[in-house]
Amino acid sequence: MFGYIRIHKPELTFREYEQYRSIYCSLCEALGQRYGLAARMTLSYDFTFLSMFHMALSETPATFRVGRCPFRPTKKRAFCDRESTDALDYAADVAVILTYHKLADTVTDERSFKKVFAAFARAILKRDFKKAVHHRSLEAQWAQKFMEAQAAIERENSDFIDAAAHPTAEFLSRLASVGIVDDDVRYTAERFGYGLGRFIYLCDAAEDAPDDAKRRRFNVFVNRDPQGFQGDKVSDEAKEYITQCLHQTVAFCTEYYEHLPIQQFDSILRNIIYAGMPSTIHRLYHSAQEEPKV
Amino acid sequence: MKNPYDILGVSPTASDEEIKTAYRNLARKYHPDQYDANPLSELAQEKMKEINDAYDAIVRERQSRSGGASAGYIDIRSLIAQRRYAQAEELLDGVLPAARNAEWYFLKGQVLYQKGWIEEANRHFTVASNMEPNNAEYRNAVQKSTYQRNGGYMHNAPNGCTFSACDVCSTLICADCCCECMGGDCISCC
Repeated sequence: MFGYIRIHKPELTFREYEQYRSIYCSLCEALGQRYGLAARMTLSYDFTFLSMFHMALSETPATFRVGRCPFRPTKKRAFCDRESTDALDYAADVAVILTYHKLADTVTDERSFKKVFAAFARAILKRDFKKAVHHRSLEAQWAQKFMEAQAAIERENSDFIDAAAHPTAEFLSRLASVGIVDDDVRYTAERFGYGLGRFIYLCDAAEDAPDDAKRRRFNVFVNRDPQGFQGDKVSDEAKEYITQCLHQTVAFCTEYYEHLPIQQFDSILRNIIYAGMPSTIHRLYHSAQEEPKV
Repeated sequence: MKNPYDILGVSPTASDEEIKTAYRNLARKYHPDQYDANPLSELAQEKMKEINDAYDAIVRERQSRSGGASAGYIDIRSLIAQRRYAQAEELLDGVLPAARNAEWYFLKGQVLYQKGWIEEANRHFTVASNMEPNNAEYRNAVQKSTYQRNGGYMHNAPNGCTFSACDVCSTLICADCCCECMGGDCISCC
């Protein structure tokens, strides 16, 4: 479910790319220092985005220093000063909680190979998960509710797109708006987060659809249009519907993003929203070399 | 006020032209200038006012039907404008299914959209527009949705940041080479 909220490199300046990577690296550092080596595997672009988003809405800008990556000691990297922002610790905590839940989900859903790997990963992460729950009991409760709501949708075998995406969307809406004091800004951030969560859920559903159809697993797109997923192929109508549905979700996000008082990283965030997310949509049904019909 | 259509002496289904003609004829008959120094002038004045009010009411009602707020939903529109969506939705849901007109579907669509229930919102906008094809407001909602679904929002990206990956690969390789020339490394495997 992770990795849909990413940058579109060709449109970033080198400086922006280095800044983005520094936040990615800083998140890795936060995970390592707060938890340990195992937690570093919960690192993802999505939580990098979340950190950046919170930093962008904060009154005080995040500052950076130069350091070295423990995994690639020959390269100098920029790191965020963790004293200058809470955002990284927050993202690290939530990343651990959410990854743990997702692994638990995989253990119950999947079969054979993936299940074993997931069970193993979950076992390593268990102690970190408990620690994270202790740091963020509220977020842990939200995550628990989110997983339960998700399970309920699957039990219903719903074909209702909006309802299926709702638990993920709501969860992200809370994460995005946490700690914001101003009512208007919090509302806008919440709506933005809602769109983001909806996007993540639907991308995941779209990507898994052919496989889910074959294995008769729950998938809202398949339920809505079973004919579209016969065999290994996705029909043109299904592809078009999914593409359009996702685009409108991104459009929803942009409407709220434009009203946010962004203090830092605006150009990188815009790259992600206006170019990165559309490119994720494009990648669903096109190989990298094809030109998108924009 | 009495039924405005009765005052003008027309049927409620009369065309706009017929309404205008009826008004003009009555206005000519009761215009104050005709009653100068006539003991009935006061009565004529009252009648003139009645005719004017009736004509205004009919024009307003017809305008609102073809686009824009109608009296019934003004309070809901105002709630939506104030972002009090939960209350707006409550009021909307209180309307009986049999009484749900095009405007109901449009307003419900608006509430659903901001809730993030985009597909449901679209369904409602489409129903509203189909019920009243001449309504510009509902048509715009459907068109906006189509525009967004086809990626139109990307062209609005401020800073001109767009995904128009004309040949993603060659751009990436080019960027990587430049990066490496400067001492960095965009794509470590190239």
